[in-house]
Amino acid sequence: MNLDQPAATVLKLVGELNIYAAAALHARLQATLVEGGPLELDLSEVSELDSAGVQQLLLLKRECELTGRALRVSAVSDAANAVLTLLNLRQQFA
Amino acid sequence: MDLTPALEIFIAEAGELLEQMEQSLLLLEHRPGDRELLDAVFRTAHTIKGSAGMFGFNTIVAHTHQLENLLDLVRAGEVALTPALSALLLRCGDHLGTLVTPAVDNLPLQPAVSAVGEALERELAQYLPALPNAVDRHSMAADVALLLASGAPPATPSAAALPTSLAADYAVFLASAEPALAQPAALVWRIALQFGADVLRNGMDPLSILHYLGTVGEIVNLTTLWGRLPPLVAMDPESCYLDVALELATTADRAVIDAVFDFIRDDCKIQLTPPSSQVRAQLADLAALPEGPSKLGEILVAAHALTDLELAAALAEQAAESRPPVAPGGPRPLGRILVDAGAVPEPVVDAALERQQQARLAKAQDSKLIRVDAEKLDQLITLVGELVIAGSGTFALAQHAKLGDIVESAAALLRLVEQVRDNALSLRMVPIAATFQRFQRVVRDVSLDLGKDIELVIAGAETELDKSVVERIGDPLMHLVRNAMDHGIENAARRLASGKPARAKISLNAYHDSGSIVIEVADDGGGLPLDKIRHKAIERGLLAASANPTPQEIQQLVFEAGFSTAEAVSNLSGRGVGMDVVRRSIETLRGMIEIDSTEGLGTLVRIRLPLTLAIIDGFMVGLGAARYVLPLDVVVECMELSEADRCFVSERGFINVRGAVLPVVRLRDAFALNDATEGAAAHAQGAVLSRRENIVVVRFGALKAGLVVDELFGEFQTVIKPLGKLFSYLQGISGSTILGSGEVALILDVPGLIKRVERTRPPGRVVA
Amino acid sequence: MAKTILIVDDSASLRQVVAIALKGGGYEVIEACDGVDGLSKLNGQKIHLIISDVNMPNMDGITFVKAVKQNAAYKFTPIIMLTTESQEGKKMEGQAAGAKAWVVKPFKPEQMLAAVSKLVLP
Repeated sequence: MNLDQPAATVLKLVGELNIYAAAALHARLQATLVEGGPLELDLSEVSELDSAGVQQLLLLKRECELTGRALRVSAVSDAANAVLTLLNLRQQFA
Repeated sequence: MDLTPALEIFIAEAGELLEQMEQSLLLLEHRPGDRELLDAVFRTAHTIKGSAGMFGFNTIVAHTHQLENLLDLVRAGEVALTPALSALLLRCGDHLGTLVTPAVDNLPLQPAVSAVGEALERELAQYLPALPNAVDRHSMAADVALLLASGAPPATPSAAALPTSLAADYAVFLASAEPALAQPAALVWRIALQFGADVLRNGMDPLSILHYLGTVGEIVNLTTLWGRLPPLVAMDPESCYLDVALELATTADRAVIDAVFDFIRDDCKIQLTPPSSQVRAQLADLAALPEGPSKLGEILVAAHALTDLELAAALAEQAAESRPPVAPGGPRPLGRILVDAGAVPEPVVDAALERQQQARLAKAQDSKLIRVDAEKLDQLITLVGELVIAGSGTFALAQHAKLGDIVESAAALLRLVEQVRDNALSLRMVPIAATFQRFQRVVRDVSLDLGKDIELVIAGAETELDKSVVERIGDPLMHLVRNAMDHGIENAARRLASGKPARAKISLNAYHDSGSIVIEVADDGGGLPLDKIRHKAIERGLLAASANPTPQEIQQLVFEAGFSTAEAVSNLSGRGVGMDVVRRSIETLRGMIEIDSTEGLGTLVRIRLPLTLAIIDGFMVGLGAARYVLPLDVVVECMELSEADRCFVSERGFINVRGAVLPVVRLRDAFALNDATEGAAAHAQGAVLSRRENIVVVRFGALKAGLVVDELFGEFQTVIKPLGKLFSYLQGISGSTILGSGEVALILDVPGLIKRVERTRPPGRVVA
Repeated sequence: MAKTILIVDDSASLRQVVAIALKGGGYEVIEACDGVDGLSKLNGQKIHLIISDVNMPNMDGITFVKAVKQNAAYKFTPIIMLTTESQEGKKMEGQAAGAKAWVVKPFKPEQMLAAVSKLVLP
């Protein structure tokens, strides 16, 4: 274990990640990306996920890759898992 | 699925609605014409029809449909709600009440009940107008067809009283909703979906569409593409940026798969690629296709290789590519577009093209020319002309009477008449090629006579114009070509001395330009000698000695009557033979002629003619009570004449339009119409002073002018009647036409009017 | 959690047919008898899809759809308009107002279930 590595910031998204929540999620992601360091995405309490939510998660992943930030998905709820599976994106958020 | 509870509600609901209808009808007897009550009556019938339709109760639907039609007319005020009609409606309500129970229990109607229904419907029909298109406002045929398609009524009254056809259909639906996995014959379709930016905002989640697609077949190999996603800060979180490519294994046909995308079709790009075994089926379909369609798209649609919607999309794309800027190589052929879009596989397109070729060959063998007496065509055109006038009159009357159905019907009729007119006129359109070709011989013979080496170059020979124009353009053209050869082209020595090739060139060119046909006669000869023309014109009194005309103005002088004489020819050693004759014959064709010459380099004579002499799209204006018509294609714009501009017009004869000088003529002055002659009453009220005036900006060739009129009436189909010889001296009028009302309107001679104002412009410079 | 659908139509039997069809597909159904009733039923509820008739007393379907789209809590909620063959114009009007989907009356219960399934996950 590398002790120099800073503790990961945990981004826990809760409830509905749908079109109605899209603007709020957008603001939250922008705020999160201002900070550096590894990111841990917790989707364990996402009750609803739609395309509006999915595309922002994809964007988060891409921005992390571009800035060389580590992104790890720690947990995924059943609702989120069903959607990611339908879109064949499960391995993107492993 | 058990619809019994819904049926029970239907019984209660129908009872309630019929009761409401009865009450409203009774109340209406005390408050005749009450809008709310009428609406309520209409709605009860509408609702009963809608619900009965859901259960397939055809007798109830048919009866309420009649009722609804009649009530619609009552509501629109077209049929009066008399006590007799009110009584009839009440009896209809009673009859409907007797229909509900047998329908729900699926029992056959007793003959007595059916008889009552038929009698009532006959009575209802008497109130409906006899107009066939007005009767069926609610597209009974469509409704009934839908009902018939939903299955025959159940054969036996089931305990559940549920139309068994519905249950059966639902079972089929459930079965088809199972993934097609179990079906060994499932085929794999490739589908690409590019979702529009607004789908999420419109409540259309791609996820739901994909999920539903999963009920039509089995989704394999789905890939979500997010390449269109902008950086986080730039993204609109409510816009959709996702695309999806997938393969669908299914036994469903193209129409079923296509229907999945019904609600998102307008917003999204959808690409359906059929499976390869489907290609074989399509090829077989193509081979089995009966003779018929000759267009590629139609052939593919007939072979089930393409849906109408996909064809429309591809055609729209092709149309977009045809608009400038056009890519090098021009717009792609339809087949290429379909293959590129993945809508149809290449082998299928190739097969369809071959099929098309065969169809064309077959057609070419069939099509033969028919010789028709020109006189018969002329008679047809005259009749079509009368038809257009009569059609416009009917339309105007219908509009005046404000009868919606008749206005619609008259408009449809008018559209057809216009198509007939265009078709009839096109029968008389012939290419100018034959006329042009005659000059090959003329130029060859005359150049030998003159000892000049002259080559004739012809362009635009395929340009079509009215037969009567072609017949009458030959002589003026002959004048112009001979003139060019005699006087325009220098002898070989002189040409060589001025550095030109010994071989001279005369060119004839024809093309269409903004509703006119333009014919040009050009030579590369010596051009017009401006100084000599100027002197000659002053000598002949055509030009004031003090005048300072532009070269352009000097050149046009050759068309003046009295300029060209036999003497002038020898004196001027330039052109001059019969140029005024040429101008006059062009003007009788409602055309215009202009000359553009550069001394030493050559001369170009440009003739501008209307496409046809018989019928024009006109623009009607009013001066007091009189109506005048201008050809629509000369009208550039219309505007109101402001108070300030009005002073300008009367003082100087021009106004300022967006920074440019526009010469203007007041038609009232031009035709010497006296304000006082048209109704002293208007005068007395001071209406003349406050009368609004409008300017119609007209264009002919390069010239523009404004005509001041009182009123604008807009587009008007005009059949031109020539003026009698008695009126041939009239200036500014080229013909007359008869309005739908029977009144006569004069057709303005726009070229003549423009020339008139051109002469007075610019102020201070006098040319003629 | 089952998705909730609001059906607004003045015919109780038609609402019942829709309810039976949609419940069979695993959806919850709320009914309203006209536009005014529909707006009151929306009140604060989580609604995943709205089905609305056009011709209704008190408040017609087009007015109702416009009102729904004004409400921030429902502005992205998909709306299915119920039209008849003769109401092509109403379909356009409905689309302009914000109802992008439509089902033509009379419809079979399974047609309604199919239309809803295209818009809302069960």
